[in-house]
Amino acid sequence: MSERLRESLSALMDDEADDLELGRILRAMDSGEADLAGTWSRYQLVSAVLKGRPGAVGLRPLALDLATADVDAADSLADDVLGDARSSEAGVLSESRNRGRRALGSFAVAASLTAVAVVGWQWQVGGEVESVQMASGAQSLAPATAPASSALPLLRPADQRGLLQASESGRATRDAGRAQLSTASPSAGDVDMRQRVEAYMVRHAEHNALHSRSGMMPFARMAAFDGAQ
Amino acid sequence: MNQQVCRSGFGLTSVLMLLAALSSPVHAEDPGVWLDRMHTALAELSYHGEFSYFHGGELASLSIAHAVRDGVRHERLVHLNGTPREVVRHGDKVTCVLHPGDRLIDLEESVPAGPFAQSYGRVLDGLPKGYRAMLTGEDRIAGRMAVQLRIEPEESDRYGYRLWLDRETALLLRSELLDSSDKPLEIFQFVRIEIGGPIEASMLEASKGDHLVMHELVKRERVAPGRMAAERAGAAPSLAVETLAAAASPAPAPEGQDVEWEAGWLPSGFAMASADIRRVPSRPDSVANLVYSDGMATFSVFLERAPANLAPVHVARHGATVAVMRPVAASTPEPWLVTVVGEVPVETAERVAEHVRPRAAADD
Repeated sequence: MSERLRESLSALMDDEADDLELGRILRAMDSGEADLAGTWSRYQLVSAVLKGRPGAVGLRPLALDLATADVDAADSLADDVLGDARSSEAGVLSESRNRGRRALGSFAVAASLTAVAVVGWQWQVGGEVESVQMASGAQSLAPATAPASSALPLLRPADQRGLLQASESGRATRDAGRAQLSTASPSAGDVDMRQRVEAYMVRHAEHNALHSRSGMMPFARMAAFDGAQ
Repeated sequence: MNQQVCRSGFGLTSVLMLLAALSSPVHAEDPGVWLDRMHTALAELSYHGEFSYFHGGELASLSIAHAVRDGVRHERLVHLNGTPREVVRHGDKVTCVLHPGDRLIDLEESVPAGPFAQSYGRVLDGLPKGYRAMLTGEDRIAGRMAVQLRIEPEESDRYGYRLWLDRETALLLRSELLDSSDKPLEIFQFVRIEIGGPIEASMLEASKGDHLVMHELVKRERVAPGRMAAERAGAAPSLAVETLAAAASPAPAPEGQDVEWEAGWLPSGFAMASADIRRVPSRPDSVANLVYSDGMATFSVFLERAPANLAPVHVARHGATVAVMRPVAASTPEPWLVTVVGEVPVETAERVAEHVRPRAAADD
């Protein structure tokens, strides 16, 4: 595991992972990075020990943290458990990350959405047994103020494909239903939808490349397009 | 550190510049003038070099050569890492050169393809509405002195930019696309550039090889809106600029009625930049494509008949580009799917997607 990935995990522990770091972790999950889950568990143990209450708290699945990252859950489990660890001398947990949570407030919804969708091309699954409730337009534009952790049912740890199902009650849905942190292969229908969206992204880049006066940027977008691997 | 010094000294500088500007008829330090010069430089100068492109957590390296010969723009961009890929432009003709197995080939085929609509009416000079621009100092990029510009959106429904322009030629040396918290989503930066030198013809020619897949991007002939409408089977009312008819098959199935679309909501300052109907003979369905721009940012809206087993909402992101795919919210006789793709914040894309609606309701 790369040092960067470790740092990203650490940032996620601190609830301070930015989009890039989340993307890195998501991709590592996607590619079945060796010992990702193990490292995650160890980090949590370290922090629990530092906090002086090993075993007092169940380990959080990585996927849950990814889904709640960037959400201003003041009373969230993360703060509860890790608040002190942040100011400790623990070398493994980066403490110099004082970037704050600039993406919060009215942009919380977007930030969370972005967090799950960034780079790793996260998709939600429709038409399955656990169909996802779609937040209404008004909701998706409303600021997310509710604590997220309470609204999110825990994932079945053995099944990372589990959906973070959006509850219909309250604005806490915060579009979390879109977060389907999938490491399993998606169904044929998903692949098709996914491919279509990517194809449209390429089309969009091509259109810009053809029409834009702004030089190489649109070309670069197209030439560097990788999408999902 | 130097930047700090630059910034602290900048207050005084700007006052002096303001005084200079007030007393001089030509506002050489006007950011709008710099933007104009940038567009001209990009289109007219000869240059070649390599640049980095950082997007979505990935770093790509590309080489570029650009020259104007007999009034025609020639440009070649080569992707230096990973899958070999190049884009070559000779005037209006743009060709992608792809190697077999490139994922881009599959993607090209997975949605109905066709010529790209001409864009119209959005040739902007200077700074578009909805943005503020300021000169923020000087920097050094790729060994050249650069003027730094900051372009801030007045609303949070679009992104901002930081641009570094060559002090001598105003060529764009570095640019950053910034989200609402000033975090770069996309960075483009020359690492080496030569401006004004001779460009050999070979540097502008596409690679050749029988195994290569040439994919040409074709601009549709410019057509009057009325003619565009007439192209539809059983053409009916003329196509207003801000609407587009989703094409029907030549012999429209009873359920396959034409639907004209419009954006029920747009961020202020955005206007339609092009509209296009695509048809592929082998596919009864076709895709309508509307493009909107505010002069800086662009997003595309795609509309198609929804396939069976429609998933609720897909959101994807790659670097600064976000895509939202969802069923059309407005009531239509049959399900439609809308996809909004662009370099705009996800809430903006979502809101646009949510409010796309058929325009033809009044005709029924």
